Amino acid sequence: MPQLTLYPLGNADCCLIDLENDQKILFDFADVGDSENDEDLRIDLPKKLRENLEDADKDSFDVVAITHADEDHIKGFSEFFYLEHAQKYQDDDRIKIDTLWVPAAIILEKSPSTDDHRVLRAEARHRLKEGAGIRVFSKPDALKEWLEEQGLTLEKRKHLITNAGETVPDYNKSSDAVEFFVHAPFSRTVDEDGEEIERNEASLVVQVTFVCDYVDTKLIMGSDLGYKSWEDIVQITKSKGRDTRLEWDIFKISHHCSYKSLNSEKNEEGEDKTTPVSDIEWLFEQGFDKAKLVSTSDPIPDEDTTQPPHMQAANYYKEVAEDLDGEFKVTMEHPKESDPEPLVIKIDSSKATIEKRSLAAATYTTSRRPTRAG
Amino acid sequence: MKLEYCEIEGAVVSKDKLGIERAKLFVNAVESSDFTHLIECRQTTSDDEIIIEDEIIIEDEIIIFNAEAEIGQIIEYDIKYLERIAVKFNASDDDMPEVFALRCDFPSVPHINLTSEEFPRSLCVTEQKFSEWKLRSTGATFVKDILRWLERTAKGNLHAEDQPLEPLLLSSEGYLVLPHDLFIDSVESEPLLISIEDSGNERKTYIAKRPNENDDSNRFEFIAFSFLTEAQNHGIIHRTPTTLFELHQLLENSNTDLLGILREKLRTWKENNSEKKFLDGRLALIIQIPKKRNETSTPETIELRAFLTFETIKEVGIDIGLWDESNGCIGYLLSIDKNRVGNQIRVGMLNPVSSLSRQNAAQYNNLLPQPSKKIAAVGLGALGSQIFMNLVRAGYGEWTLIDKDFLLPHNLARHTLPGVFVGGPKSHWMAEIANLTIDGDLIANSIVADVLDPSESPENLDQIKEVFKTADIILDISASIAVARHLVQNVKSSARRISIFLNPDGTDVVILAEDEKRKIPLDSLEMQFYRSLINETCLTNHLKREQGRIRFATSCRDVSATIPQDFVALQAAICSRTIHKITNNKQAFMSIWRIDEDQINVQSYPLPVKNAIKCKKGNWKKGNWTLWTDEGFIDKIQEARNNKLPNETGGVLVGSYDMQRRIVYVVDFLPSPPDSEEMPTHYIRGCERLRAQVEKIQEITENQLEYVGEWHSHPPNCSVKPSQDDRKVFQWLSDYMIMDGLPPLMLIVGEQRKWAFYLEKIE
Repeated sequence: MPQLTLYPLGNADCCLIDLENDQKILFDFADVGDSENDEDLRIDLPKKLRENLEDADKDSFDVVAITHADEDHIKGFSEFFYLEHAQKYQDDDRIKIDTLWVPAAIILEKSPSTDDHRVLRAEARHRLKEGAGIRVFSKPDALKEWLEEQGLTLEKRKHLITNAGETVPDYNKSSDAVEFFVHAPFSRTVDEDGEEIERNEASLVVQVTFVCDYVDTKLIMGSDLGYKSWEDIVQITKSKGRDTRLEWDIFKISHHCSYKSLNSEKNEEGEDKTTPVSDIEWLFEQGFDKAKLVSTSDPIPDEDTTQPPHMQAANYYKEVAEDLDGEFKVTMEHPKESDPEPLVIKIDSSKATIEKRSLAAATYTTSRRPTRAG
Repeated sequence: MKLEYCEIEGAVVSKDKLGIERAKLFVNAVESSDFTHLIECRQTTSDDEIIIEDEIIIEDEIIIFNAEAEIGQIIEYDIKYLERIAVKFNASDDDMPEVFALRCDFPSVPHINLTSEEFPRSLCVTEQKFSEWKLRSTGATFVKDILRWLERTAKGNLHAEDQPLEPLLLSSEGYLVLPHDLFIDSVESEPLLISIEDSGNERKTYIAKRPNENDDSNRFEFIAFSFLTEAQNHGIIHRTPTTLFELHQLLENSNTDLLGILREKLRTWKENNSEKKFLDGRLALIIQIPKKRNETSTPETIELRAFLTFETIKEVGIDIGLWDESNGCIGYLLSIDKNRVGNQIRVGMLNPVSSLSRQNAAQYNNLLPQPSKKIAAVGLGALGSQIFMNLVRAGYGEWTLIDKDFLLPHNLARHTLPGVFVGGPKSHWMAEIANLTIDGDLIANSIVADVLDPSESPENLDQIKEVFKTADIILDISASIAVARHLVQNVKSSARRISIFLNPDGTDVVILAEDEKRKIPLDSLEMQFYRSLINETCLTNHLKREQGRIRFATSCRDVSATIPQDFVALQAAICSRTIHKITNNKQAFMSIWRIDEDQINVQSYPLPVKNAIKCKKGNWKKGNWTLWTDEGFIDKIQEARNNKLPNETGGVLVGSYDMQRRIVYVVDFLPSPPDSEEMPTHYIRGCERLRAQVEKIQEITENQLEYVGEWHSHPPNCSVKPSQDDRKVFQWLSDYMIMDGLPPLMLIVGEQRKWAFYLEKIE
C-alpha cells in the first residue's frame, strides 16, 4: 500500500513516498532540526530516514527529488548522501541515491548560495555528464549551452530530460501503479531570468497519481511556488485541455502556507483570510471529496506575521478543506504541537487516509531515553 | 457546511466535579489522546425529593468530545473525520456506558443500537458483554474502541463481517427463533405458531414453528404472521414502536399498510380456523425488509424485525376495527372502522434469530459450504458418535447411521449420548440428536442393525443394501476388522471407503481412506499400514496394550477398553477435521496420529500409500485364491535383488490370509538370513534368527502379519519361470503349507521389473 510520510521540520520540507512496488522516493531533504537541543521539536531527519531504510532493508533511495535548492529543501544534503562526484562524500554510512531528480536551474545556477547547494550542483552536473542516475526537469537554452561546453549535445542527454506537460518515463500506471506528471518548471522561467534564477519559480512541481485497486489517488506536490507561477500552470494546463492534471486528493501546500502562493495581497481590508487569484481559486476547487491539505510548516500563528505560515492563508486552506468535507493538517501541529510526529497518509482503495494512531504508553517509553535515575 | 448536533440532557459541570469513577477515567483518556478533544461534561442528578442537604445524588454523567478518526475519501458510510460523540456513564455502573453520535444527520449504519428515539444514534462499539468488557477496558481503550468503530463503519468493514446483528434492544422482550428457511419462498402463507421457553431469570425465548399436525396446539401462545415490505435502501425502523399504530406509522415509510394487511390476514385466518382458543392467543408480526444498496440495485440483505402484542388477537381485531365482541361472541363489523388504528395495542420487540441451518453451521465452523456427501456410517461407539457430532455441528454430510448396539451405563464414560438414553439404540438416538441440532431436512437417518448379520430383521437387509449403494462414502468406525473387510469385499457400492480406528490404548488413531476411484481398496491400505508398523521403529508399539481391560458385565466378551474420554475427544477432533480434508481430495490417504501423554502433544505420522496390485489366476490356472500386493512391495524386492547381483538372493514373504474370501496379501519380506548361500546360479535360504524375526512381526501386528511363503531372485537374461530346482522347493513348501490348510506361495523376481507369483500349484 503506498503511503506518504511528511516530516515535521518547521518551515522546511521532506516528504517520503513509499510506492506499491516497495520503491522509496524522497522529495526534498532538509535536515534543519537540532538534535542536541531538547527544546527543538523538529524531527531528527537523518535518524528517522536511516531507521526507515533499515526497516525496509534498503541502503538507498530509489529517487531523491530536489524541487529547488533553497536551504529549507536541501540543508544537510552534502552530509547525508553518498555522492558519486567526489570521494570525500563516499563514507560507508552515507545513503545512496539511485536516481537524482533536479530542475534544470540547479545545474545552471552560477553562484550557489550554500555549500549544500554547491555540492548538489556538482553531483547533478557529474551525473548528467556521466549520463546515468539523473533526471533533469525542463530544457532551457542555457542547458543546451552548458551541455555543449561539456562537449555533449542535448540530443545525447534527451532521455534524461523531462519537460513540463510530460510524465516521467521511468514510471507508469500499469506496471508501477504510479505516474508523475510534471507541471513545472517551464523552460522559459530559467531563460527569462537569465543570470538570476528565481529559484521558487523554477522549482519542480508534480502531480503524482497512485493506482490502488483501480482507484486513482492524486497528489500535488506544491513545492514553494508563488501565485504567479500557479496562475501560469493553471492557464497552460487548461489551455491544453488537461484539467484532470490539476485534480487532487492530497495537496502539499506551497511555500509553508505563505499567502504569496495565493495572491500578492495577504488579505483584503477587514478580512483575516487570503483571497486567492481566480485561477488558484479554480485550482482548489479541483479537490475531491474529503481531500487532504498539508502545510509543511511551523504551527499556524493566531496573529498576523511577516514570515510564513500566514494565518490568513491558513484560513483560506481551512475553508477549502471544510467545503470538501476534508482535512487541513500542519506538520508541526500533528498530532499535537507539543510533540509533533511524522504525518503519514495511507493510500488505498478508499484513497487518502491520514493515519491517527495514538501510541501506547509502552511504545513511547521504549522509544525514548528516560531521564537519569538517581 | 455547518454541522448540527443533538442536544444532551444534564447540566454542564467542570470535569473536577465528576463523581463517577469510570467517567473521570474516561475524561482523562479523552484529554490525553491526540485525536479526541473534550467539549464538555454534563451531569444529571436525582429528582428525588428526599435529598440530604448539600448532597446531590448523581444519576448519569455524560462526556462530550470530538473524535478525529482515520477516514479515507471513498467510504461506505458518511462518517466525518470529526464526529461529536457523547458517552453516558450511569452511577450504578451495571451496564455498558452508552455511546452516542451527536451529529443530527449521522447516517443509519450497521451496529447501532435500536432505542426508543432515533437520534442521537446510539453506537454499538463493542460486541463484548459488559461483564467481560469491564475487565479489560480502560478509558484509553474505550476511546480507541470508539475511534475504531468510526473508522470501520466508514469503511463498511463492520458490515462486511456478516454477523447477524445483535443490537442492544432496549425494549426487547427476548429472542425469537425462526425457521432458517422462513423467507426462502418469499412470503409464508401459513401463520407460524410460537411457543415460549423459560430461559431462566425471568427471561423468555420464543420459538416459532410451522404448524404440524403432531404438535400439541396448547403449547403455542402466539400466532405469528410474516410479511415482506418493499425493498428499501435505508433502514426504516430506527426506534422502538410502543403501539401497533406506531409500528404502522414506521412501516408507512416503506409504502406498507400494516393495518390493511393485518385486517386482511386476520379475517382470512379466522375464517379458516374456527377454533376459538386461538382468539385468546396473542399476535406476533415478523417483518422482512429487503435492503438494497441504491435505488436501482437488487436487494442484497434482509432486515428482519419481530414484534408481539401484549393484547390477544381478539382485542387486536377490535382495536383495528375488524370485529367487535358482544356476549362473548365475535362479530365482524359491516365495514372496517378506520378510526380504530391499533392505538390501544401495545407492542414489544423481539430479537429474531435464525435456527441453525446446514449453511449457518458450516459458516460458524469457518468452513466453506460443500456439496453434500451421502455418508453411511457403521459403528456409533465412543469415537464414532463424537466424530459424527463434530461433522454434524459443521453442517456436514447426509448421514445414515448403522449400529445394532444400545446404550449401557459404562458407555456414558465416553459416548456422546447422555444418560437419559440408556437402554436405547445408539444409532437411533444419535440421529435424533443430530436432527434436533440442525434445522431443515433430516441430516441423519438410522438403521438399528448389525451389518455383518442383518438377518435378525430382514427388512433391514434391503434398506442397508440401498443405503450402501447410494452412498458417496462408507465410513467404518466399527473398530472391527471383520466389518471393514465386509464393507470392502461384500458390499456392492461405488462409495469410497474410509476406516477409522484407535489402537488398544487409545493413544493412536488411524485413518485409512481409499482414493475416489477405489483403485487402492481399504484392505490393501490396511496391509500397507501393517507394513509401516513393522518397518518404522517409532510405530512398533502401536498395537501394544499397556493397560488392562475392564469387564463390565458377566459375559466373556463384555470387555471394555480403558481409554480416557479426553483421548477419544482429541482423536475424534482429528478425525472429523481430516474427513473434511480427505473428501476435498481425490487421493487415497493413510495416517496415524499419536498422543504423547507426558507433553500432551499430538504427533502425526503420515504413511506412504502405494498402488495396489491384484493377481488373479495369472500364474496358477486352477487356483481359487486371489493374491493382492502393491507397488511398494515390488519396488522393495526389486531393489533387494539388484543389490545382490550378480548373485541370486531370496528370503521369506510376510503377509496375511483372508481365509473366508481366499485372499492372500503379500505385504513385505525378510532379508536373506546370514547363513544363506547366494550364488550367481542359485540361492539357498538360511534360517538363522528367521523364526525370531517372524515372531517379532506377529507380535507387532497382533498376528495380522505372518509367514506366507518364499521368494528368490533370478539372474539377468533369465526368465521368471520356475526351474527344476524351483519346482522342488515349491513342492517342499506345499508339503508343509497344505498341512496347515494354507496355499503354498513362491515368488520369483527377475530383471526389468519382471516377477511371478506361484500360488497353490505350479502348472
